[in-house]
Amino acid sequence: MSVLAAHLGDWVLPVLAEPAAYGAGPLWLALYGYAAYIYINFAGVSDIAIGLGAAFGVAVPENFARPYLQLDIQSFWRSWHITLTRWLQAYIFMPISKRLMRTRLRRHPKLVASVGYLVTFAFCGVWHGDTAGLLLWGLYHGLGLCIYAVLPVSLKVLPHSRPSPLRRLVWWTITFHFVTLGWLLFACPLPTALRALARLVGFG
Amino acid sequence: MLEHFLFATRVLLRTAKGTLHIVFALAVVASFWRVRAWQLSVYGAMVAAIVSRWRWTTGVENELSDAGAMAVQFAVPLLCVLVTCGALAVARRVPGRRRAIIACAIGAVMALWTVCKLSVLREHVPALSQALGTAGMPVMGLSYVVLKLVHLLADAAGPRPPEARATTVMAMVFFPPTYASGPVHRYDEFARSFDALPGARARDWATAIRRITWGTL
Repeated sequence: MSVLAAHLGDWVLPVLAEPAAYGAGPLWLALYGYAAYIYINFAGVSDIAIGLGAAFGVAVPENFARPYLQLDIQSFWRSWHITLTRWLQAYIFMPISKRLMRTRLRRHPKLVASVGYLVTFAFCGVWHGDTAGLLLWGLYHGLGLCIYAVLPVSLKVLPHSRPSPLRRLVWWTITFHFVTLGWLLFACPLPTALRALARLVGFG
Repeated sequence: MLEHFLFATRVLLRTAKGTLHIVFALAVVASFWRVRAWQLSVYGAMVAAIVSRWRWTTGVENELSDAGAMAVQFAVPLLCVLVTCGALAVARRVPGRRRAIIACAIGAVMALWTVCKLSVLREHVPALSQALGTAGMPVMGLSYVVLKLVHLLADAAGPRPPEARATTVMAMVFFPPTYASGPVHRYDEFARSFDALPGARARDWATAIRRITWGTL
């Protein structure tokens, strides 16, 4: 664990472990802190691996590319844990999609993509650990990708388009908070995560 | 550059975790100064065993002896590697059934991962998990081992299968920097740089120092 992540973890993890003891403000701060903690921790480990690989003369692939600056959930997953995402795409999403496109569902490509996303990210959740919270975390991201897939093109921020600053800000805010709220399911056991979510939005 | 590096080193040396990072990084870099494939494999296995032993004694309860635990931490990934290399060797000899053999190997590797990973299975099929020696404990790095091996097996089932050598496969799987938490290497990418390791002076030390320092901080 990197030095900065270790210090950040000492502060945010106890807050997320006992959400009932804190108000919405400290919980939001802890959640933003956890988003930073998990990124710094994981990207730091990847940086060390890439650095050690360079010291040995072995090229190690990049694993992160500014994920929290992405404007949509698809772009987020293209820049977060890149090597795992590529693996999931190649060996789960694509085979499922190709198989479904050979059935009557080929007339509904968005439905095919949605099924692919849900199955792929359910596996992604279980790959991280066999708890209900992690399975839900995977399905939550799968659902986010499904919703993004069915949105009309006119609403999206396409890679080579030049959206207005306001539009960029809105999309960034939605994407960042979608991912950050998802970390609750990743960080806490399911009942704790639900209690924390209730307090974050002013209930409980 | 040197000034930044010395500053980072001074900061790191103030904490036990930071010092551990520096010692680990220096030991690994020193050990890999000039290596051959078999040396890398042996060293990787040693590091995996030592690290898992360290993790073991810092909180994970177990029913096995330390020696048994260390052996299992290494044995399960090694079993996955043996299944993969065995399947690749058989598939080369029986090209007509290549895809079926590789599909079986992928199934076997994924089944091992499932048994070791899912606590539900460990609880409900105790005989199976005890036979594997995984009762009540996770095998460190196994998820990444499986991702790398499935990459290799899937490539081998494709139209242009790579010429996979067992020593290089071992080196890729047990490569210490990526063993426990990725990134996930693909065999052809790893083998390309591993089979042509540059001499110590030709390596990209600036990148190495920058990324290790940055990642550690």
